[in-house]
Amino acid sequence: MIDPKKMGKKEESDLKEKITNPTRRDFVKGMAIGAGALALSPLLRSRAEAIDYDNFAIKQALRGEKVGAGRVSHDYRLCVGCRVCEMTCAYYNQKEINPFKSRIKIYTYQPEVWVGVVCTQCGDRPCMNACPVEPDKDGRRALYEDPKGKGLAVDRDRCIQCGQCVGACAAQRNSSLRMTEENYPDGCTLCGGDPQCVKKCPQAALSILPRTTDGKYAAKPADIMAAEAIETLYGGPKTIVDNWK
Amino acid sequence: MAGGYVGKILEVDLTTKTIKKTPLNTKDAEMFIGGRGLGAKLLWDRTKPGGHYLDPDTPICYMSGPVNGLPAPGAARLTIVTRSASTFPKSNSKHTGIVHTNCGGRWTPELKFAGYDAVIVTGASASPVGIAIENDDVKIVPAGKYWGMGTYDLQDALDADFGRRYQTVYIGPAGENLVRYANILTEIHHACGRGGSGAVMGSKKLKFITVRGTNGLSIDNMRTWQAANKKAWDEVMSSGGYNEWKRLGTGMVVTGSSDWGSEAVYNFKEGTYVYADDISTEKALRNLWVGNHACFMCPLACLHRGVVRKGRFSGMTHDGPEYEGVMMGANCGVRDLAGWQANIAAADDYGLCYISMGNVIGFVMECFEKGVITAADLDGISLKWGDVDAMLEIQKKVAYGTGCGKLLGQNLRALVAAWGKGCGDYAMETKGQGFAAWNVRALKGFETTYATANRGADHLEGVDISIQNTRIMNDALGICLFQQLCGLTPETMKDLLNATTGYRLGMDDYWKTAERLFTLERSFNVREGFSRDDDTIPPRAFKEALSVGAAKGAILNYKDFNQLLDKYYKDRGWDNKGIPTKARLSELGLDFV
Repeated sequence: MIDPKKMGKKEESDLKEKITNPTRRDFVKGMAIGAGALALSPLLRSRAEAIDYDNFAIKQALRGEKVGAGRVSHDYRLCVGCRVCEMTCAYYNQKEINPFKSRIKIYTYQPEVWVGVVCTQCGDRPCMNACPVEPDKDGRRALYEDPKGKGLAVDRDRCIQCGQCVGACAAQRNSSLRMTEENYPDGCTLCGGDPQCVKKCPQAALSILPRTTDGKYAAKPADIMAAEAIETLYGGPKTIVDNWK
Repeated sequence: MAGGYVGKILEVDLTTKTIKKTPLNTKDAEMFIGGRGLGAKLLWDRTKPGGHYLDPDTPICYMSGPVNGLPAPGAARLTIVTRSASTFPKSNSKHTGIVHTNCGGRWTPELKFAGYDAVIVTGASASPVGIAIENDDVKIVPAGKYWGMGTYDLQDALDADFGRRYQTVYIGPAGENLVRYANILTEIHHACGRGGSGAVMGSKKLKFITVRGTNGLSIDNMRTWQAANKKAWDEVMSSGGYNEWKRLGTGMVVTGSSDWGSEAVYNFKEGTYVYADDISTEKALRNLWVGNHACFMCPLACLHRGVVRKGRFSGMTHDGPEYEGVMMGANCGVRDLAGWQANIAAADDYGLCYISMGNVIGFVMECFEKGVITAADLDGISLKWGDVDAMLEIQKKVAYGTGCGKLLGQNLRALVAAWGKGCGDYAMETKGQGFAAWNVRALKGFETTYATANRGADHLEGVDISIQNTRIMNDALGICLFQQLCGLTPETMKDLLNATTGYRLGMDDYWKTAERLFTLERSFNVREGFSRDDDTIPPRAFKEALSVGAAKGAILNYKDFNQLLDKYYKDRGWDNKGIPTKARLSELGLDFV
């Protein structure tokens, strides 16, 4: 690993230049964006570490390219349960040091796995479809897709606080959409196209993946995801203590 | 209220079943910071000299620090301060010293989000109870159905009954049965281990404290905080050891320490373990581990989740092994990685401190080998070096207090008194507290810190006064010392503290605070009858040289040791009996002592 402290100004600017150079940008742009980023990510990540602790630093270049329809993906194999994402989300979006206000939630299961419940920006948008408010001239209901960040946005003037979007998410997906204390839906905005949780995750367990058409796999409820995680990591739920008693 | 602190202390009296919320004394908070420091002050205020750890009115303080719950790296430590179940002066075995014991996890941040800086529990309930906290709503709930559960089952039961977003500290069967080295755990394997705080909790019939909080925290000066916090994360994440910490954790020195001759091997007889490779962390990494585990806000994630994949223990899931697990490994002559892991898991399930348990087992193994005791003394168990099954049986007996477990669950001094025949020479304890996995003979400076540590033999106090002071401030702020080992500097920590709370401490004040905290703990012990006579290193380190490895021939001698101790007392401003002088106390603002 290159130590940034020992790196000269010249090398550093070279490295930054390399990362943000237009050739790569065009290359990335040219690829089917999500898959391209995925294939490159090991390479990109090591570079990113060399510059800054910010694992996502490199992807800023990608973000400049408008990552189209992205979503935050949580990898239970890498997650260590530190809750940096929760703290980051709450502080960035609500200006509060309070993980309760976070839009991404990390749940602990035994034997120990962590499952992140985060909006997967399902392609079929059951939450928006459930909104009973009449669409306006742009076709937006009270809960709509923010054209800039491609995340969820709420028009508080038109929202009637009925909670049907939250109900739809809970019934059909992973319950990541919740009500705020003021009783408005509070969904992942993708931080305007620059998801802070992904940026700050020290373990690179969060990443940007392309949206899927319906999000039915990615947006499975936490309990089901946890069972899968336990199967993957431990080979199934174990009789943990039986063999010494 | 200054930022960082929430400003409220929760006091629960289990005898009268009363719950009180008292404001935090801001003056004390500024003088003693929080965590270990403020805990010592609260304990000082609430105890009378000569109390016993089993007295119902002995308070047990669950402390947070001002930085806990904030997005600083590793700001997760819970410190429990109470009377120790395993720290005694030689002058009077009925008195007990102070213990501060800390663990990571997610409990302390949750406590602060619930709106409390500390929980102080006094009194004793007649039937098993738990405390359930959700923000302002605090309830004492019956815990009969959880009583007797091991920590694995208990965690599952609590998850089901309270929900996954609750964080809980609890005791296992060992704590219920008042084993004098029972610990308090959270999430099955984060343990407040040393000092038998689990026995104090068990004596109050308190099985668990579960917390859920949904309030925010404040920071006094956001601008300086952000600069300091950025620096803190940079220091940790750009440090050279970061990747190694993440990959191997503390276990990376299992083989290293053996090579230096500083490991605990065969009850501290040796410092180099010839079979260290059999229990090496690289082997665990390849054979056991499935992923990392981090405490709240920690980028290091030095713990590892493991599962045994083959052999008789196959299917067993547990965290680790870590370096201190060596007490159950090399110290007991274990060569079987899975069997070692099973013993560590069993200790955590029973709620036993595996450092002290390993120390006791190692000692008993040596007594057995030397013929001091026979299998008849151990209910027919032949406790030979490396016999993992016998170790499991012993642990079970200790945890449930059956048969020989009743005696083994006391401490080394009780065993020496019961068995005699010169076995005191190799009982590795200071102030009654068993040694942890660092062998003092090969480590220059460790002898003074082991001898002078306030809770007895303490593996976390480094090699000299400055490191002792650094570590005490870590515990006071609530930042894990591993961040420090991985690059976080005391200067940055001071900046974090100042920005959080609005204090204007310079580096001098910071170190003076550390001196104050340490001297207060010492004064507590002095009040209970501790003196220079208790600042000892066991005879084995002076009588037997190490016989293998790089540190072959290493041995301590009394003359050097006494000189070191004289110098240590002088540097601390204590007299040569190890008692803090009046002048020093008033200089530090400890006039009430």
